[in-house]
Amino acid sequence: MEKIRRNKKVICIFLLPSLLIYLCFEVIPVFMSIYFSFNEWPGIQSVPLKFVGLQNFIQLFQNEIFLKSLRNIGIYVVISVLLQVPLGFGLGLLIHHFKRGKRFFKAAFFIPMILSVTAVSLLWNFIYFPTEKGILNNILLKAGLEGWMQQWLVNPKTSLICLIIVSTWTSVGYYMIICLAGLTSVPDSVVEAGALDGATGLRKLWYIYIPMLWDPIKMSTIMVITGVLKIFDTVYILTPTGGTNNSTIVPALLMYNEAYRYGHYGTGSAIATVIFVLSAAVSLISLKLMNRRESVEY
Amino acid sequence: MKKKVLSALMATVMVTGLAAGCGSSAGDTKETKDSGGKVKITFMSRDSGDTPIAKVYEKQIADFMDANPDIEVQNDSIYEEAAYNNKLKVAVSTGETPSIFYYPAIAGLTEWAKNGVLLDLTDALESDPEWKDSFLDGALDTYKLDAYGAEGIYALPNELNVDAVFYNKALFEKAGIKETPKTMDEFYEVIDKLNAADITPIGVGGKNTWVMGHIFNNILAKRIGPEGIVALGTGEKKWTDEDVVECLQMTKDLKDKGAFAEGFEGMDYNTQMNQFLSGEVAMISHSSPIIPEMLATESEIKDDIAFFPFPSFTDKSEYTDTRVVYTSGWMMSGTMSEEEEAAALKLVKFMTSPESIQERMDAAMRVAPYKNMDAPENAPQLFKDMIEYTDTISESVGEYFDYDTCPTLVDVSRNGILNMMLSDSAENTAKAIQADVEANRP
Amino acid sequence: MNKSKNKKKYSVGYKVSFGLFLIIALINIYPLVFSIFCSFKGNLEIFQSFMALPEKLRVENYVTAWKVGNIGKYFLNTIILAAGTLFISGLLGAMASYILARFRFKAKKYVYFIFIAGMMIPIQAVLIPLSYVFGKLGMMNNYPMLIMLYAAFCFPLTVLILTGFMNSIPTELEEAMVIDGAGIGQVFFKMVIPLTMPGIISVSIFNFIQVWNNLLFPLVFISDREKGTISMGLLAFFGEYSTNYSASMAGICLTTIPIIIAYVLFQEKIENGLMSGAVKG
Repeated sequence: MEKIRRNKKVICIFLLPSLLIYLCFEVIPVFMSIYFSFNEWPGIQSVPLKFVGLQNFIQLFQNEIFLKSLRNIGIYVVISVLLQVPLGFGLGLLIHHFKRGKRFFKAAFFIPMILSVTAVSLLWNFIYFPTEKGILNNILLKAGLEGWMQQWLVNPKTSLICLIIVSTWTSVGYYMIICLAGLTSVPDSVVEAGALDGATGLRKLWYIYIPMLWDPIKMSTIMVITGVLKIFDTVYILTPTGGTNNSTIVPALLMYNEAYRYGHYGTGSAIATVIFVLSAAVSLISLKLMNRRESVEY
Repeated sequence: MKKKVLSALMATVMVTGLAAGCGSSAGDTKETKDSGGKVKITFMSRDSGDTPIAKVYEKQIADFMDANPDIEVQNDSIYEEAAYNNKLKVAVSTGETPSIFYYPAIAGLTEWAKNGVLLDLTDALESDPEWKDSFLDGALDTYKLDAYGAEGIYALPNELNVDAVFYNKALFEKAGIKETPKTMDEFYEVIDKLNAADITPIGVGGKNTWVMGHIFNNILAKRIGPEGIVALGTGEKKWTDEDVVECLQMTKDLKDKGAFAEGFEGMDYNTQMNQFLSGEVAMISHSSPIIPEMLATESEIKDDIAFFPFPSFTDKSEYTDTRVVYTSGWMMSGTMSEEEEAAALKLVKFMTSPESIQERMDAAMRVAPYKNMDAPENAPQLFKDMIEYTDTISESVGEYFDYDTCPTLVDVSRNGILNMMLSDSAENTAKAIQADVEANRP
Repeated sequence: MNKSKNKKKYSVGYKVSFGLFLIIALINIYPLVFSIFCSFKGNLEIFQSFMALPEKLRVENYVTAWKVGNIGKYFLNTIILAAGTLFISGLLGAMASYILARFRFKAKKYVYFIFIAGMMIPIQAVLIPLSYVFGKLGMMNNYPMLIMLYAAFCFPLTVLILTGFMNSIPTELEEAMVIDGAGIGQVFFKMVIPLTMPGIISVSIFNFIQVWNNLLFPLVFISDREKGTISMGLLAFFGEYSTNYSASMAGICLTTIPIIIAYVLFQEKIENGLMSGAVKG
């Protein structure tokens, strides 16, 4: 077996097809994009690239709006990780234990994932509608909490958290599905053995499920981090300008504006590079942190 | 290990190769003819889907292809703004600029004009005096970019978007308003009366920042005039100048005077239109293409809609007759082969022939900058009035950022204006806009 | 005695959490109900009362959606693209993940990282380089090429999830098969694939959603209208000055509901069917 595991021929046959497709269609364009970030280019084919070294990056880090976008995305990532992963896995574990209605529940969480952004944005626009006609404000009004009524997406204090709620809602299903898949690929005997040892409730969760699902939890965390750092759609649709006083501006929105609207292609690519580097750094750090807890072998 | 080296090598080779290609000249000849020997050109407008205007374009392109079997026209039109912008920018950056397309800019075209993305239409126009003469006087000058350093005419005006305040006659009557306001003071009175009758005066979907931006632009036109706006665009005048700050302040004051609904900053444009069409608000500030859109809805107030020109300021009587008119134009690709260029010019002339223009006006109520156009007999009164009004306009100006080469101005100023409505002061807003212009004007 | 007491305690908690869950699930279904309501309303009606039932059933919205959005044709196109993408990304992705989870070679760490790194780049950032390559090589409107493109963008997530799953399969089973004389291909197809099926299915669901909702790729790489996708078809209802939400919602319902039904009907079946053939540890 050890010999097979080092067999170069097998490795090549299994790995190369996907690696080649991946290199051509993703890695090379990514490298080109990184190369662009050291150049000035107006997005016109006939204009040659002008090498400017680190200038695009230096300007970016002197730009207040960009710094604000980094701050926002930092908050976004932290809250999303703390919210989406536990929520998704919590829901997954609950569904796993239900004896009936599993399909129904899975379908219910599948809906926000598949529904087109048009429907999602129209709905949330109505929920967050700034007057008492808005669904959320209406509920508050009827509950006698007039004081809590808000212009949810306009108020800089509430807008970012409102967006985080929307993206949590649309993506919790992913982590639920990963959790359920993780649970099915794990032998029931392990859980039963644990139960016989007297583990119940929280102890069962802590000593059996979390270690058992540690790999899926790690994957999900990486998914949240990488997904949130490049988030664009939700923000663009609900707060197209990046919110009052840039309260919801995120790097990907800035990148889009620079590259596709202002013709600052180099700056846009530089933002993409920053997103990439940040994403890689945060992912590696969180993996390091999570690897301290060894997953159990069974 | 070998593989790693190999892949790294491959990536490097391809990156340098492609990047060099990206920056190379547009000289490489493209395949212009398909197997059937047809010349292939592309047409890309913002009109697609099931709107009347999109259907007319479809028909006209089909007619053109019937008459010219050697030319194939691909209609790449996309209605949705972001999608349109993405597709166009990618096309320009890879040298695949559509043969005929639309882009909402004037001074902003300079970079493209200088770098050969756009075709200079001067020669084509000069060589066909009859065609050139069919445009309204001065209309062709709109896209003359000499002032910005690119000599020539870089687009053909094909539509006029005439700004006006549309109002609901029934609601005006209900509030006891007998005459439409001509001056700002009268306008403020109208606002007070409407508020007294518990009617929201002006519907604004602030989330779509252009709505507030248009209101500001009208105030600007009426106070600093076309010369002032052009000077602002070319940098001779500053945003922090007293009169510009005053315009910002007046825009902000409208909110304090109760002109807008509570929470308008967070509403979107669709909500605004709905409020107007369902009779909840009395006025909207908009331009002529909205007429067919409003009349196509199931609204019960359709017959009550009328319009008046944006009011003027008594202390600025020299600009009483200045009107805000946005021109939209067709640009042509500067990187076409000779055959493609000839075919594209043929199409554009066909599309700007009096028959084609009349056809579009009849079917889709578009106001075009061409001579001898009349609204059809059976057109709705609102549209007839608009045509009549358009004929009276002697002096017009477009959007302030159309005269500025600064690409970020449109966003920075419009976002700034919305922030100002919420909390910021006019002075700070002006300062922020000026700083942006200075930093980003090429 | 003791046992029944325990059981009762368990079932109260069970009922409470079940009930709570039911409410959350219903909230999640609401958007679909909302979309269905909107699809039968008039455009003005949608904005007048956000939550209300439609005044009357406007079936004409569906007719408009079907015709203008070219839904029938585009639905089929999207399914073809998605099926191709899922096959390529599932099979090749699983093969790569198997190597990365189980085999030993020097560059393994780097290859794994390169794969995962793909998740960290916003798609807009690579659009221009990509379209340059596509345009140069004449790959516009070419479905096989588009499928490879989609698959390339699905590989990172596929590799991330499947490597994780394969890591958690006990190695003894493979070793037993090899000792019994099975080749590596047999081990992979007869044991690894069936055992990781839950993971493959989950990741295929994610990849499907990616293909389904992707607008940028078809927008830029498909110019032939006959080859358009659902996301392009739905664009037809957005205008400069007006959005036809009614028809748009009708289009969304027409395309989404079959997918949700298919998901409900087949997901468990596929999973169970394939799992039963597997050697369960």
